[in-house]
Amino acid sequence: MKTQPRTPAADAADTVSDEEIIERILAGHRESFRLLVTKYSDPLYRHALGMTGSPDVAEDILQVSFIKAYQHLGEVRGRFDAWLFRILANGCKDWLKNIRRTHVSYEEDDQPSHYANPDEDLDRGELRDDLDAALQTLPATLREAFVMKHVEGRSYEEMAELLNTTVGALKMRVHRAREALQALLEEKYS
Amino acid sequence: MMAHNTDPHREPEAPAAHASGSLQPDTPETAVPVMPAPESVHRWLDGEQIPPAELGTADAEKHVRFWAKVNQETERRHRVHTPRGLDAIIMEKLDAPVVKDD
Repeated sequence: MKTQPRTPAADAADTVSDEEIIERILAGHRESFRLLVTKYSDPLYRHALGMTGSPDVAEDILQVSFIKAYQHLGEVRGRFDAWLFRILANGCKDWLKNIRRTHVSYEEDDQPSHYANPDEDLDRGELRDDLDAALQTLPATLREAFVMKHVEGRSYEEMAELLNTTVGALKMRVHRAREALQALLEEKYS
Repeated sequence: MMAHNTDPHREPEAPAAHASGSLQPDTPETAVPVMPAPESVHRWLDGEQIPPAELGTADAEKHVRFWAKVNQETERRHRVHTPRGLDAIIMEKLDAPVVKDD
């Protein structure tokens, strides 16, 4: 996927606090919500994509999460970014539960045509698909921890704050996720 | 748009629950096959500076080689951006202006 250039909205979102933006929106300036969308859509999209493996589903969850956040903006207590993350994370978990309940396999649903780039060599494409398939086999909590650490590049402290758990518990999840992924992929990629 | 969590009775409650810091309960971590890695490899993957000797053992080396490959893919994913135009779609779908609840 192509890199998007910085937009004026992105620059503006970096200079104004979330609290200030929310105040403006609640005062009736609906357009200010765009600043929050611009500021948080990339990391949230990466999370949804890592959790679902489908760009279409990730887009949908992102849209629903932002709309839900907008509708309940007056209920925000504490950090907006953490609140928003939890809405999205729960949306991802809902999707995973539903897809398991209806026995729709990963292969039968949206194929991960994401990240498609014709210039990528075949080996990288293969690793991409194999990693996606391996991630799909992990329990949601392990996948979530791995994606947050390795794809989103978050610190354990930040993850603990967002997931409302301890650094120790998250280290354990990330370690288990790595060891499970390696067990699945080792033969091909060692 | 995909309809996740569309239960009208649940929807208004969810953000409030999130706001109080509650995530959905964790999925039980059923037994998954694992390939244990040396602690030094995990610390290296966690971003710590590890003396080369610790990662140069026969056992650690194979893990390092494996994760060097996988990290190329995860780093590429770290650079993925939201599809162009999604912000405009979200803004179009917003309802009427919200009102502060207090």
